[in-house]
Amino acid sequence: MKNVIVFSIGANVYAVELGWIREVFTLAHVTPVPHSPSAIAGVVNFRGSILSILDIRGLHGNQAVATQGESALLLEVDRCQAALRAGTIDEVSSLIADPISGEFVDSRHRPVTLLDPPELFDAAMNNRSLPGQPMASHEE
Amino acid sequence: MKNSLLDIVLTQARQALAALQSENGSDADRERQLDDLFGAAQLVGDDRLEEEVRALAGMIVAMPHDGVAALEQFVESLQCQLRPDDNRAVAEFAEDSPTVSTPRAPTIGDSSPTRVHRPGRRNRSSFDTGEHLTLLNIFREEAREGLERITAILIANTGAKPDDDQLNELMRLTHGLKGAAGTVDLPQIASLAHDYESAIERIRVGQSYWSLTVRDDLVEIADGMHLSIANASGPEQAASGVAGLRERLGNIGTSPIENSAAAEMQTDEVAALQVTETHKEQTYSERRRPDRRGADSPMLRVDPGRIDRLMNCVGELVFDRSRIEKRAGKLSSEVSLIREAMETLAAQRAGWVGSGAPVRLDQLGSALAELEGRLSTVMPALEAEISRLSEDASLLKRTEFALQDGLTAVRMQSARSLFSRLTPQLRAIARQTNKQVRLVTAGGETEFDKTVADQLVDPLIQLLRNAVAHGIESPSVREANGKSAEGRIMVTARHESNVVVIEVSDDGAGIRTEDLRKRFVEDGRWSAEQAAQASDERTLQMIFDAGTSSKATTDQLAGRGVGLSTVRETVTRLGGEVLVSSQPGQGTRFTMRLPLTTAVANAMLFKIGGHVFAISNVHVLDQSEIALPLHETAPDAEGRDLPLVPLHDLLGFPIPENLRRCPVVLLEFMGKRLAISCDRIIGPREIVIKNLGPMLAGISLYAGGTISPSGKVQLILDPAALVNIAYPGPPVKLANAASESAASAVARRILVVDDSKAIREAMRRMLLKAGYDVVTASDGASAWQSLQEQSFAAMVTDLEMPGEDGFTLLSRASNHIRQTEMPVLVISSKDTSENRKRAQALGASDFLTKPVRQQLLIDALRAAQRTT
Repeated sequence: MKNVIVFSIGANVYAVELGWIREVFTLAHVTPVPHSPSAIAGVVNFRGSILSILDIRGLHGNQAVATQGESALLLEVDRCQAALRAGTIDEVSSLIADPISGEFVDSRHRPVTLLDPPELFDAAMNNRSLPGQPMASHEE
Repeated sequence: MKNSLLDIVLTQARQALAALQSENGSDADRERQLDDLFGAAQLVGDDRLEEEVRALAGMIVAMPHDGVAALEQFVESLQCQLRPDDNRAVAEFAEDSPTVSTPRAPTIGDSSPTRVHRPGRRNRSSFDTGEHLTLLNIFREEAREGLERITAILIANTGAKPDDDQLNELMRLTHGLKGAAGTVDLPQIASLAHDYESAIERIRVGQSYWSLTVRDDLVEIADGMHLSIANASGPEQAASGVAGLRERLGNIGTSPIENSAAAEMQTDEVAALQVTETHKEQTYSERRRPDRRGADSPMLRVDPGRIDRLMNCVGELVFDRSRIEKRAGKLSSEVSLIREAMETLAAQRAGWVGSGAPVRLDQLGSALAELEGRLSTVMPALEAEISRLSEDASLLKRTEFALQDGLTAVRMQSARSLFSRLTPQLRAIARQTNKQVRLVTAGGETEFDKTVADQLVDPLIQLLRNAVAHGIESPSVREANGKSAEGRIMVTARHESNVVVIEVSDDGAGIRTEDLRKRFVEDGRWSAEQAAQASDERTLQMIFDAGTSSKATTDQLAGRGVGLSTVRETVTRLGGEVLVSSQPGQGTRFTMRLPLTTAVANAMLFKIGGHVFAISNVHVLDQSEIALPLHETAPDAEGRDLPLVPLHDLLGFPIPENLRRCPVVLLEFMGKRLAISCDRIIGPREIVIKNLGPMLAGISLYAGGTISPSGKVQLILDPAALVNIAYPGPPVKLANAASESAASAVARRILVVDDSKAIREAMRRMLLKAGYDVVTASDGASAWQSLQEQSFAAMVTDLEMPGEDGFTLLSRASNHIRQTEMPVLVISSKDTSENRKRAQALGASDFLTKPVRQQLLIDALRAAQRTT
C-alpha cells in the first residue's frame, strides 16, 4: 500500500507517492522555454525562484503543456526541484494493487499509473521518452 | 550539526576572551574577535544565543571589566553544555591522535587563561554530506585567512627572527587552525597544524634555530598546508602531502647546518605536491564555464554592521507601509464624502422623477451648487492625499535602493581576499620555472561582488602563469638586460566610476608584435597583406583568440593558447572586458574592467511572440529597424552588414503580420558583432538574474531568467550562444537538436577502457546520462579489438591495467587515432608530468585525474571533440 496523491490529466489518472512531494500549488503564469527538453512545458515563478514544469504528456512523445491556474506538485529528487503538472488533483489516498491484474487502482477503481519521480527527472533532463502506456489521444 | 556549530562558537568565544585578556593585543584584533564570535553565533541559527552574544559584545564595549567576566561565564556554560565530561573527551582525542597530548609550555600568552585543549568532534555520523560541506567551506575560508596571516608575519621582518608578540600570534593562529580542523573532521590537517604550532613553539623557546631557510621552509609548508586544505574533503582524504609536510616540520631548525640540506631534500617533495595541484587547477580552469547555475553554494562571510544596515531598511519598509496604510484610510474617508454627495443627488433626482412635474431651473441650479460645494471641499483634500501618496512612493523607492545597496554590500568582498589566493599559486608557479618572481599587490581595499571575485580567481591565475612563463625572463637574461634578477608581477585593483579595474602587469620581456604577425601568417590566420596592414594594437588583442600562443613550445605552465581565450570568455561573461598592452623589453599589462556586481544587471528587454526576453545590456551596441522580409544580414549604423540571427525562427514564433519594419538589436560579444530580430524593443531595465534550475542547465541558449514586476518569468539569452549561431564554427548544441541529429550513432559512441569494473560502470553511467552510447573494455587488448571492429567518437582509457596497459594501447592504436582523429582522454590516478607528456606524445587529447567527476568528464570529452 502506498500513500499517494492521485491526479488526472484528461482521461489519464496518475499518482505520485507523498514522499517525493514538497508542496501542491497552483501554477502562476507559465513562460514557455524554446529548445527545452520535450518534457518541459515551461518555467514558472514559484516564490521568487524559477521552477521547470514537467508535463507527463511530454515524456510520452506529445507536446508538453501547462497553463496558469492548473495544479502542480513540487517534487524534489536529490535536492533538485521541479514542478509536475497535475491537472486536477483528485485525492490523497492509499493505492491498492488489484489482486488479479497486479495493477494499481484508486478508490474509484480507476486504473492508476504510479509515477516514479527519479525516473521522470532523469528522462526529462536527458530528453528521453518514457516507455509505457500510450497517452489517451485527447484531453477533455 | 548544531553541536559542531556550537563548538565553533566556543572556540571563537575562547579566542575572543584570550584577545580581551591579553595586554599586547590591539583594539582592532579584539574587535575582530568579537565580530567573529557574533558571526559564529549567527551560524547556529538560535535566536537566543545570538541575542546573548549581542548583549555580551555590547557589555564588553560599555563595561570592559564586567564584560570580560560575563564572557568567561559564557565560555564556561557553553563548555558544560557541549561536553559535561570534558576530561573524557580529551582522553579520547589523545588516543586518536597521540601527538596532540604533548604538554604545552605554560608560558604562552602570559595573562591568557590556561588553554583548554578543545577536542574535535569525533562523532562523524553527526554530519550529513551537506552539513559537512557547509562546515568545510567555513573552515577553508578561515584557514585561508589564517595561513595568509601566518605567511605575512613570517616574512614581515625580512629574515629576522619574529619577536615574541609575533611568535605568540603565530601560535594562536596555528592553534586556532588546529581546533577548527578537528571540528570539521580533518584530523590529518589538525595534526599538521599541531606540528606547525610545536615547531613555532620550539623556535620561541630557543630549542630550534631560526634562519632564512627555516623561514622559507615555514612559508612553503604554510603554502602546502593551504593546498592540502583546499583539497581536503573528509577525514580519510587530505592525505596528499600531509605526511611529508609533517616530517619537514619535525626537522625544522633542528640544526643550523644539517637543516639546510634537509630542507633542500624536502623542497622537491613540496614542489611536487604543488605541481600536481597546479595541473588540476589548469585543466579545471581551462574548461570551466563560470557556474551560473549555482550548483554549489559557497559561504559568504558578512560584516554584522552590513546586516544591521539591512535591518534598518526593513524598519524603514515597515514605516513606509504604515504611512501608506494611513493614506489609504484618509482616502477612503474622502471617498465616503463623495459617495454621500452622490447619494443626495440620486435621492433628489429620484424625487423629481417621482413627482412627474417638470424640474424648475432654480431647483436644478441649487442642487448642482450644493454638489459643487461638497465636491469642492473634498477635492483639495483628495489632491493633497494623492501628492502625499506619490511622495510616499518616492520614499519607498529610496528604501528600495537602500535595500538593494545593502544587499550588494553584503555580497561585497575586498580585493585583498582575492589577492591572498594568488600568492601561494604564484610561489608554486615560480618554483616550477626556476624564475625569481615577486608579487606586488595594490588596492586590496577595493571592494566588489563576491561572485565576481570568485570567478576571477582562475583568470588571474592564468594571467600570472602567463606572466611567469612568457613574460618574466630567466635571472641571467634579466641581468644581461640590465634588469634586477627578480622579476616583478604587479596585481592592482581600483574603482573607476562604476567598474572595477584589475590590472596584472609584469616587467618581463613584453610581446613583440612582429613575432605575432609572423605566427598568424604561419598558421594561416592572416594573409601577408593583412599582417602588414594590421595595427600593433589590433595584432596584440588577437592573443585573446583561441589557438594563439606567442611561445613556440608548449609547456606545463602556459603556451597552449587556450588560457587567454578562457580569460576573455570569463571576463566577457561577467559583463566586462580585458585588454592587453605591451612594451617589448619593458613588460606586459593586462587590464580587466568588470562590473561591481553581477546579481543585478542592466539588461535590454524586448518582446517576441508575446513574450519578453532579455539580454545583458553591456553587449548591446545599438538598436535599429530593418525592412521585411528578413535577410541574412542587417546593417549597423555605419552601413556594415552584420550577420542577423532571426530570433523569430530560433525561438519558434511567427513574425507578426502587422509588423512593417522589424526592430533589431545589435550586439557585440568577444569581438564579434551580430544583429537579432524581434517584435518590439522595450528598452533597458535593471533585472535580477536567477538561474533556470538543473532541468534547463544543459541549454546554452539562456544565461538565466528574471522575474518581471508582475511575477512572470522572463528568459535571458546568452550572447555566447547567439554568436555561435551567427558565426558557425563549432556548432551550437541545442537540447532538441541532439535527438534530431541522431543521424550517426558513431557520433555518440564512446569506448571506455578500465580494468576496474566499478570505474567502468561508473563512467558508463555518467556517459549514458549525457546521451552517449558506451562500449567497455577491461584491458588494452580487448579495447584494440573493439577499435578495429567499430568506429568511436572518442576513447576514454585508464593507464594502469593488467596485461596490456594504457600506454601500450595508445602506441598500438596511435596510427588509428591519427587517421580517425578520434579524441582520446586518459584517466589515471598517477597524474605525473611524465605520464602526461607520454600520453600526449601518443596522441591523447587530455589527461584527467582519478576519481573523475561526471561534469569534468563530459566537459573534457566535449572540449576534445570540439578541438579535433
